[in-house]
Formats: sequence, C-alpha cells, structure tokens
Amino acid sequence: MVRRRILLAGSAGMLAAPALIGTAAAQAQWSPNRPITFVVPWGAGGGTDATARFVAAALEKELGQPVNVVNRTGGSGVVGHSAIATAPADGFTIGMITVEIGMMHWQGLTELKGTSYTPLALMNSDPPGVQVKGDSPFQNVKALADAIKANPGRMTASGTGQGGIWHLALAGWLRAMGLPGDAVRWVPSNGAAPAMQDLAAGGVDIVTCSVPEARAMIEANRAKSLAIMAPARNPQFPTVPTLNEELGINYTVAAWRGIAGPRNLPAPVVARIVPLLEKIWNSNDFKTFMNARGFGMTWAGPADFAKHMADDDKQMGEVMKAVGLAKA
Amino acid sequence: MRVNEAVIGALLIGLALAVFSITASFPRIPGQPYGPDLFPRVIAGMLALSGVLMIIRGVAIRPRHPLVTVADWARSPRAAGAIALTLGAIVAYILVSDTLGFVITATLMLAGMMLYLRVSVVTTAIAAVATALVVEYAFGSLMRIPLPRGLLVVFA
Amino acid sequence: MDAVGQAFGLILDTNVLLTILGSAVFGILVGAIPGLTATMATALLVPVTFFMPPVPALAAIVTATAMAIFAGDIPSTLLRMPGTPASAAYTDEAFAMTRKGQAELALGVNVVFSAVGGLFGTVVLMFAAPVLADLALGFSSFEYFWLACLGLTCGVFIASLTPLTAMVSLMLGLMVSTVGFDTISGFPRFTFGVTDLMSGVSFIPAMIGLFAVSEVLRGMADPESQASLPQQRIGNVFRGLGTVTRRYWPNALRGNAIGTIVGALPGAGADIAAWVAYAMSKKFSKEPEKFGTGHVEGIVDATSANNAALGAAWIPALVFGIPGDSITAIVIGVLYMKGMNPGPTVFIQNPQLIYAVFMAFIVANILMVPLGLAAIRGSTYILRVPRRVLLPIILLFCMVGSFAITSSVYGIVIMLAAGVVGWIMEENGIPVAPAILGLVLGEMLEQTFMTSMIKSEGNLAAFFDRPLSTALGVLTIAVWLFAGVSALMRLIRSRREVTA
Repeated sequence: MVRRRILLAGSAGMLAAPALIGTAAAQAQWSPNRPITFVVPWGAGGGTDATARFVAAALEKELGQPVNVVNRTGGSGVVGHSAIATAPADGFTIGMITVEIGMMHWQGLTELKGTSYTPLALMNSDPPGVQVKGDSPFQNVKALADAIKANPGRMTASGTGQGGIWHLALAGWLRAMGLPGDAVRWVPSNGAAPAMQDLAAGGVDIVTCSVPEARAMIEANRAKSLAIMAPARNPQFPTVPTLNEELGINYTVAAWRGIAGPRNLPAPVVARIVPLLEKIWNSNDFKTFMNARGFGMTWAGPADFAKHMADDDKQMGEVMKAVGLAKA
Repeated sequence: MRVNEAVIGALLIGLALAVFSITASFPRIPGQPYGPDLFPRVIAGMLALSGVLMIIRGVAIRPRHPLVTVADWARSPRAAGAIALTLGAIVAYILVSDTLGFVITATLMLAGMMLYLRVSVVTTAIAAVATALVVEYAFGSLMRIPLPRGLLVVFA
Repeated sequence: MDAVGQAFGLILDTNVLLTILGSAVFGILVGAIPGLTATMATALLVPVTFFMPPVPALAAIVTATAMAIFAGDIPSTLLRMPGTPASAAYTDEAFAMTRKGQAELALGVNVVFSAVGGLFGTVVLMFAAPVLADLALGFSSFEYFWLACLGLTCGVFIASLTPLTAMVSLMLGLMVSTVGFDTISGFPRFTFGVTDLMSGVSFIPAMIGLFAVSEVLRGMADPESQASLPQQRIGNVFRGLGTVTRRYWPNALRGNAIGTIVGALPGAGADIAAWVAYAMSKKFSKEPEKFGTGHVEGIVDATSANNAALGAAWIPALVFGIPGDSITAIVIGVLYMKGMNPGPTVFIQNPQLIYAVFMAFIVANILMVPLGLAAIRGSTYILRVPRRVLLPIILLFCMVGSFAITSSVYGIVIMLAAGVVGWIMEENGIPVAPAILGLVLGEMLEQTFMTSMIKSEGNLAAFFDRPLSTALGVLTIAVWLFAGVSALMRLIRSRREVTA
C-alpha cells in the first residue's frame, strides 16, 4: 500500500511536467488551491457512485487537493444534474453526468440537456441485457420475442422507473421488432436491484437492466441473461449473445457515465483535467476496478463526448415520442 | 399556542381539499387507468376523515375549550423573543451562509443566540468561535461535507 | 474448519485489528452526530477501502456501521436528537428516561443490548444465510405492500392512547412522502417548479426538525426549566442492568428475531426494524400504559432489533447481491471490487474471507461495549455544559447535519419547516413519531401498491393471489380487525362506567 502511494505520487509529479502534457503546455497551468466538489446525481452505493468515487480518489492524488464526492440525489437525476450545470464555472465544481441528461428534458422535467455542460470525458457505457427468471421456459431471446408477439400487452418488464433508461431500452427493442413500445407492460421500480428481486419472486417476466446489475442473480441461477442490446458481446459475459446474433436486428443502446463541468469552463481547467482523466481511464487500477464490477469501458474526449451526447439525445427523443413519454 | 381540536380538524380538511384540487391536473401513467394522483387522494381522504373526527371531538366532547389558548411562552415577551430569534437565526443562516461562508455565519448565529440568553460576553466569544472552527474542521475537512466557504475562499 | 482457521489468521492481524479500532472510533463519532448516518460512514470509507486488502476493508465497514447504529442512541437519549434514523422509534422513550433521571440506565441498556443484538444477527448470518435469503427472494411487490401496511399499523399502536391524533400524524407523514418525483409515473408532484423539491422531503432533516429543533424551541422559550435537557451526572451505567436483563430477556430475544427478519428483507433496514420491535413490545407488554413515560421495556426490544438488522441485511447481499439496506448496497460494490462476487458461490470460493468478515462482526460487537462505555462517559460532559450555551450549539449541529444530507441549504429548509410543524403538533397534543414512520414507509407503501396494480391490471384480488401474499394480507386485516374491535370494546366499557 505504501509502495503504491509512492508510485502514484511519483507519476503525478512526472505528469506535472508541462512537456508531458502537450495540450496544456501552451496555456498557463491550472492548479486548484482549494478542494474540488465532485457532484454525483445518484445515491451512495450505486454503480455511478462507485465509479465517481474511484475517479475522484484518483483525481485527488493527481491534483494534490481533496476532491469531495457529493451525492445530490432525487428527481430521477434532475437535482444533481442541475447542481453541476448551475455551479460557478471555475473548475471547483465538476461532476458525473449520466445518460438521463438526454432524456429528462423530453419528459419536461428540466430545461437541461447535454449542451448545458462543458463535456470533459466519457468514461463508461453499459448496454442492457434481456433477463428472465432462472427457471423461465424461454431458453433464448427468439422464444421470448415470439411469446411477446403472440401475446402483446400480456407480459411485464421492469428495471427502473417510468421513462428511465431501461424502460426506453425495452421500448426501443420492441419497436425495432416492429411492435408497439408498450407490447410489454412496464412495471416501474426503484432501480435494477429491486427489479431483479421482483423477477426472482415471480412478480415480473423480464428485466432489462445491464448484465453487471443482474450478475449475482445469474450466478445464483435465479436469473438468466438471454441477450444484450450491444454491437458486440461483453468479454466479461462471453456466453450472452447480442440481439443481432439472435434476432438479426441492429438495435443497440447503452447507459453511459461521463464527467463534465458547468458550461464555459475555462480552457486551462479543461486542459488540465482531461489528460488526467485519460490517464486515470488508462490506469491498471481503473481497469481492474471496472472489470471487477463488470462495467463496460468506453472513452471519449470532450469533442467526441459532446457528439455522443447529441446523437444519444436524438435517439432517446424518438423513442420517447413514440411511446408517449415525451411531452409535446 | 393550543387551539381547539375543531380548528385542527378544519385545517386538515382544508389541506385535503387543496390536495384534491392540485392533483386534478396530474397526468395518467401511460397505458394505465390511474395516475400519480391516486395515492395522494387516498391519503387526503383519510386526512379529511380524521379532520371530521377531530371536529366532532372538539365540538361535541370538549365544547368548552376555547378556540385558541395562549401558551405561557407567548405571554412572556422574552420567551416569545427567544423563539422568534431561533427561527430568525435559521432563516438568516439559510439566506447568508453561502455568501458569508460557514465559519462567519455560524459564529454570528451562535453569538447572537448566546448573548440573548445572557451568557457572558467572554464565554460567548470563546464558545461561538471554538464551536464554529471545530465544526468546520470536523465536518468540512474530515467528513468532506461541502460547507460553504464564502468570504473565506481567499484563505484556501 | 480449515477456512475458519485461516479466517482467524486473517482477522487477528495487527493491521486488521488497528483498522477495526480506528473505524470503531470513526463510527461512534458519525453515529453520535445527527444527520451523519451509518450509510454516510460507509460511503466515506469506500475510497479508503480501494487501497486495502479485502478483510480490513470489509472489517472497517462492518465495525463503523455497527458502532454508528449504537452511537445514534447517545444524543437520542440525552438530547432528543436521534443520531441515526434507527434510533427514531424510541427517541421519545429514551429521552423520557433521561428526564426521569435514568439516563445511565437507558444508555447502559442501549450499549449492552445493541451488542447482543449485533451478535445475534451475526450468528444468524453465519448459519442461516442461504435459507433466509431464499425466503427473502420470494417477496414481490404484493408481499411488500402488506408488510408496509403492517409497518404503518405499528405507528398507530405506538401511540394507541390517542389513536386519532396518531392517525393524523401518520397521514401527514404519508402526505409529505408524496412530494417530489414519482418513479412510478415519472411525474414530479407538489414541486411548484422548485428543483430541490423534486427530490422530495428527505426524512433525516425532517426527523431532526421534528424531534430536535422543536426541543430547542421549547428550551429557548424557557432556558431555566429543567423539564427538557436535565443537567445531571452519569453514574454507573451498569447499575440496574441486571434487573432489566432478568426481567426483559425475552424482549431482547424477540427484538433480535424481529430485527433479523426485517433486516434480511431487501428494502427494509435497521430503522424499520426498530419501529416494528418497539410496537410489538408495547402490544404484548403487561404494562403498555407505561410506554412513552420513560419505560425501559420497549427500548430493550428496539435497540436489540436495530443492531440485529444490521448483520441480517448482509444475508440477501451476500447470497444474491440484493442489498438489504443502503449500507449493504455499498458493501456489494466493495465485494465485487475485492473479487468476492456475491452469490451462493461466495461461501465456496472464498470461505476464509467470508468467515473473516463474520469474525469482524463479532469483534466489532464485543468491542462495542468498552468503546460504547467510553463514548457514554465522554458524552456526559455535554450535559454539564450550561443549557444557555448548549442550546445554540445543538441547533448548529442540527443545521449542519441537515445540510450534510442534501449537501445544500435545502436540508436546513426542511429541518426548519419540520421543526415548526413538529412544535405546533406537540403543543396541540399530536405525537410526531408516527409522522416520521409515515415519511419512511410512504414511498414503499405507494410504490408497492401501484406496481402491484400495474401488474394485475387493476385487479385488487391479485393481492390475495400468491400464497405468501395471502398469508400476510390475512394477518394484516386480522390485526386491523382486532385493533378495531378492542378499541370499540374499550369505548363501550368506558361508556358503561360513566353511566353506572
């Protein structure tokens, strides 16, 4: 443990040398002189919180100033996202924004969207899986899809609240199969864990949450994952096929987590933090952490992250309008 | 301040009516015959029912209780002042702590309340400053709670 | 047995023991300060545990949370300021004991029965985890709905001397719980366009306001009175404990059992366990009329239950990766990071690690007695501070604690509103405790009801479709009928006495 500290301190020292930073070399080096607040719009204990706390702890080592994780929860993410967007744009408040930023404004919950922020880095994205009960008669996603087509409106699914990301994932998948978005009734839940519990208890038929969220139940044979809505299989769960493999449809979606600050962050701040985030993302510690949790690792710098958010926003808007979740 | 139970009952019925009128504009859950207004309305119904029972109790069982009984504290200007000061201190903290910062606001708040309670000036000064600094260190630094820094931001 | 031997080796390491000691002190401090919860203690420990081997990492969390749940009883007993929500159920009872000059007995009962409860929960966790987890997994929204109903019934039982006012208080709590974003409909209710209100009324600042702020207001109005916050020295904490133990050991056992069952159910934790245990204690007591006047019996039940629930919450977390409460939600993340993936296999793949965690529970609960005594002794200095100095300081702590929950002044706004409302309620003889229970259970009650309705497409008969749900439903209705009939009987009897 002591040795690791020294190693990290050493590498932080090297990084502080302007020559190694490249982009930052041209500008005055921004170095914080007081603690930084790192806002997380979701509660302590969830995947977003865990990722944020890891990144914050690593940033703290790199910057030499405390980086304090603050959970601003509630309102399906509105409160925390709004806290990041409305903070002073001085670099002392940044935070983790999530896929919901491209969804909430369609529902009329807030004015905020991806463009309300200075994007810094996309760190992770997780595609949803299609989970059924361990002793379910459906052996593959094809059988499940046929059953849905045969009995529209009879089956139930859960995974998150009304209009949440896993709800849209389900609706989008149904639409991709040529069915109406409510061909499976959505049973809102307070997150993936209660939904998985309800699946095991026989309360719902399907749970569309990410595979890592369902992992313990799958390993206990209480649930099985039939497919993931991703372009490729997850190396952590190699036996779960993609929708394309099984059904020949190219529907993909993912919940993502990225780091951002309020709009108009000063350029020196961005130039200082982005390379640090990239270094953290590339570190073995972060890889070990993400693999241990089963989280998908996706990197995008500020420009790509902004584009990613814009694309995502459009896709979400279409699905939400189609299933009647969008206002106006 | 103690009021007759009938008055409380009337207030509860008023609250229930307000809930009914606000929930009238709530949307349905897509694809469901009921919406987010169902549960608040059930609770409002129960509140109204309790309100009716309170009125019956207040009118039929204890009719001689006056509508409002003034409590002891309200007769003593000093006690009423203490209550007003306490509530005022909390409101003031909510309004100015972000600008002044935690340490200054907390010191002022503690000092004001202690002086009103006739604590000596020396004790007040020591207790107020020491408490504010200890809390700032314990909560702000150790527990990492983002207490506002306000004017002290320059002393990073 | 080899794994147990290895586990001993893992836990009896100097570094591990020092970690446990350090986290114990940390946990006591966090628990004793209102607004800082056991969940928060765990979240703060997470970044530290990144750089620790699995055993000290988990031992630190286990110890800190066990200590925090106990330490919440200290300010709750002495100042009517529940340190953690798990103390709220019996705050009034414990504070009434302090007023009667029995603070040391109340605190002694808290520390000893907390430790025993913790050990009980651990033993169940060690030997019955897979079976109990299996049982907990059979609960769907229908069963949880009936459980929430049973839980709410506790609120009325607790204050059954004035059932109508308890009902008013409970309904007000339930009403307030509907403020904010509704997950079921994806619609914000009663927010009037205010972003902060979207997150609803956080019940910890509300609890601080209802109990502590209303007490401060009373104290400020009459700083000379000894009616609240009596000044006294704390003598021998163990005096009188023997009698209590001889008399109420069945209560402790019952509290332990309730705590374990409630704790093992995902979504219900130490705070709900304490409420249920306290209500059961009153219902089955030979002298229910003494409850609320500073009677130790209910405290024995409730303080046994909340610490037992803490260990039991690990049952579904370890076996199925389903968090039993907000603390184990964080623990599951730490387990994954340390390669101890939750699931039935965790007992097969890494038995020595799991046994070491169990031993950490045992060490922590044994350590609770001496450290708890030291904390109680230290806290007596608080009572020697003159009240005119103490009252403003208590208020400041209330405010900082409320701020800590929301990380914004919104928490203080909730605290202020709840403080004023609580004070008015108490001036008018309406108890505040049922309102807190309503606030805690409101969301669960509504969500389980609405999701059940969505599943059954509005068919109410579905609440009696599943065997477990039918059993719970019949039990709930039987309890209500019994309560209704006995209330009616009481009324008739009192009328007869009047006419006779």
